[in-house]
Amino acid sequence: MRYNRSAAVAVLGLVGALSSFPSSQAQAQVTPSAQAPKPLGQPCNLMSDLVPANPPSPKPAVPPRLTPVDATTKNSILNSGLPCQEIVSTEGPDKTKTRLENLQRGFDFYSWLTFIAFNSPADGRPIDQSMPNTKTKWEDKANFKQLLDVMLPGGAASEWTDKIPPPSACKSQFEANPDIMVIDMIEETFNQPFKTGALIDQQGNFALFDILMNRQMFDYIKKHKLYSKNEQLSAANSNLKIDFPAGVNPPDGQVEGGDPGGIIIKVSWKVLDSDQEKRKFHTVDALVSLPRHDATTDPPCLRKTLGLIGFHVMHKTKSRLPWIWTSFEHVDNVPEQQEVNTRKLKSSYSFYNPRCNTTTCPVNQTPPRPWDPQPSLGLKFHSPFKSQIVRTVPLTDDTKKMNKQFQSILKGTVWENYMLLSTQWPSDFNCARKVAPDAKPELDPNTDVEKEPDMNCAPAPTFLANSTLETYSQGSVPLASSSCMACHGNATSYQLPSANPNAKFFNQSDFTFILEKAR
Amino acid sequence: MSRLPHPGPNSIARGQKEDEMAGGFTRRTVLAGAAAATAAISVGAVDSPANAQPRQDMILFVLLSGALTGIAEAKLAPGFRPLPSLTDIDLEKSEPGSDPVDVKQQYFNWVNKRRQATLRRLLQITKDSLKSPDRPQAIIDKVQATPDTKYLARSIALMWYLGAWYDPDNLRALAEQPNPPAKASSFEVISPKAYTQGWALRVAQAHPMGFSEMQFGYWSRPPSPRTDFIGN
Repeated sequence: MRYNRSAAVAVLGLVGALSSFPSSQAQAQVTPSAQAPKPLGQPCNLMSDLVPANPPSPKPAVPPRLTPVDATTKNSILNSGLPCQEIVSTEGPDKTKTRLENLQRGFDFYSWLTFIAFNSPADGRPIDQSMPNTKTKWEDKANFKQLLDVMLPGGAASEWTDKIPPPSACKSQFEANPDIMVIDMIEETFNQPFKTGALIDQQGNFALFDILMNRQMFDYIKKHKLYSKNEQLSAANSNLKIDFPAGVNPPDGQVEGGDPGGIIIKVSWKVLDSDQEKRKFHTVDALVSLPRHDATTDPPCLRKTLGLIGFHVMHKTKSRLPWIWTSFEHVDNVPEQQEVNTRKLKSSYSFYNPRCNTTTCPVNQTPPRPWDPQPSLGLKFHSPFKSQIVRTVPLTDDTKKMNKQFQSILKGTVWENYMLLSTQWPSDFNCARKVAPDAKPELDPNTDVEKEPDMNCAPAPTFLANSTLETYSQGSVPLASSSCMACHGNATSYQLPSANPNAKFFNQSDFTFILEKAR
Repeated sequence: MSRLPHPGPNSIARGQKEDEMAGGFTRRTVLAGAAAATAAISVGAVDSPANAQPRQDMILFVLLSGALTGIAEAKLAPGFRPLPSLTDIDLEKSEPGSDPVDVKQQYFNWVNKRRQATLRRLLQITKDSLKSPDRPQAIIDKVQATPDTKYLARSIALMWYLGAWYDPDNLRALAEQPNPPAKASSFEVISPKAYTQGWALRVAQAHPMGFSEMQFGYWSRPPSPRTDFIGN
């Protein structure tokens, strides 16, 4: 794959042109034809929620104007690519909006651009040409690698291009279809964070979870041998302050020179049985290897069609070193509490039965134990229990409005069935871009991983939960309810203190728990 | 202060929404609350265009609070941006902060509801001191000129440090009367959020009981320098 510079410049030029050309002219310049796939974030997407003053400068025009999201800009937005770094502003055309609201709108716009970039077809076509089962860019092994394909048995090293053999029971099916997705189930695949419980859909199947990382993350892990528990424990790593690469845009006025930095994706899947369901979801054909129950028997390997129901993105950027946290989910997952109260319900949801009362089906309850899938039942739960989930923290009106706009330009594809919940970002920007006081040029990326006393830098919004990925920790109780940054800020590695008793021991793992999966 | 207030009969302010009582804001309440509060807080004292009033009042309140507490304005109000610089502040260009917790707004509203006229004078003092070579000291000197401003300034400082409201009249009684009434020691915890955002324990390089934003394992290391906590 080669990065087509002329095409990239054309896209950027078009984005800039939106500020000075009538929309019809802008649309006429777009050629949304298939083109050779190029690396994600090459070039960086410099669009933002505000029309820029001059292409490709990120500075908004004066007075500020919102970037339209409609038929006139559809092609430019859908082909704009991956943002390497957020472009946000406290300004906006609506004087009734607070600075916080203006910034939130900018981050939410960034999140939608990211969602579109990642879910566009891997073959380079624009997203509006995708079918439900079209392979996306993040499903392409050239762009993302599953966590368990990095954290190999025995802490073995690997290269980015290595093809990792599937679990034994999946081998024959995999060899017949080497492009198929393989999900090797471990506890984190069916149990939610902090072992808070499994999620069971209305058909009685387990929801499944998976984590992937991009090349920049992989390279950092490989460079420091963090894929190995023993290497994390080694003396060589005792002084390492884990600091993943941060995304950065090209210098102001330039097109080239940026990089997306470290990105992690966490997804949730629902088993799809009916053809009717398959039309509403993005789907993958997958081999699911059930958890191992004993050392002598290979667990069953099941071929399933899975539908995407949740989509988290973690993106570290130079200006938001505590990462930016994006969360999407399928519109039919669950109702909001307010919709339940007013009985404005859809006929069906994936994780809520509108015909069951709260006595029979109390909401947001964990299933009865055991939570482990049982080999004889496949992905069916062992009891008749079905999750009855309600979203307790509603989306803001502004986010709902933006969702409608983006869903309108995705109309006719399954992607119109996905919605942004919110974007959590560090609102104290002095804290968020702070670098180490003893910064050394040879350190890369030389950010301040010790950002104490509060390295979260005032997350906004304070709480954020996906109904399929943080189902049982929704709410607004400090230090208890789901907050991406407040939780991940506590992530650590296996690192041990150095022999020097005066050395400051520091084993924070830069907001990610993935290093705990080293073997 | 000649006499520190003692713990005494106290209460937690009532009338807040459940999520605020829990110490946090939902996205909806943060955004709606910020918008509503912004519309509601105009003091109407400082000579600026009407539409710029709430924003400029809040900038002045943050600067006043920074002078009274000794804590950096950007720590009291994350996102606070004095423009073009902290020593040459243009109220029209500066930004009062944009954090979602926004305790400064709650404090402003609290004081404005109870002592609007005196708060107005404090903000004017702050505005008059913007060009002073040592702005914090200039503010402190001027607020001590009258008992009203002096004791409200003390209340505001205590509010930031303790998350509690000590009425200025009570503080005056404690300071000036040989035998102040017992009620003079009373205080009111402004909100659960105010408890979590209190600065007293942060200045001690610690955190409020039951609420810590410090990193996992912080107890195994010496605390960060105080400057990392308070910014000055």
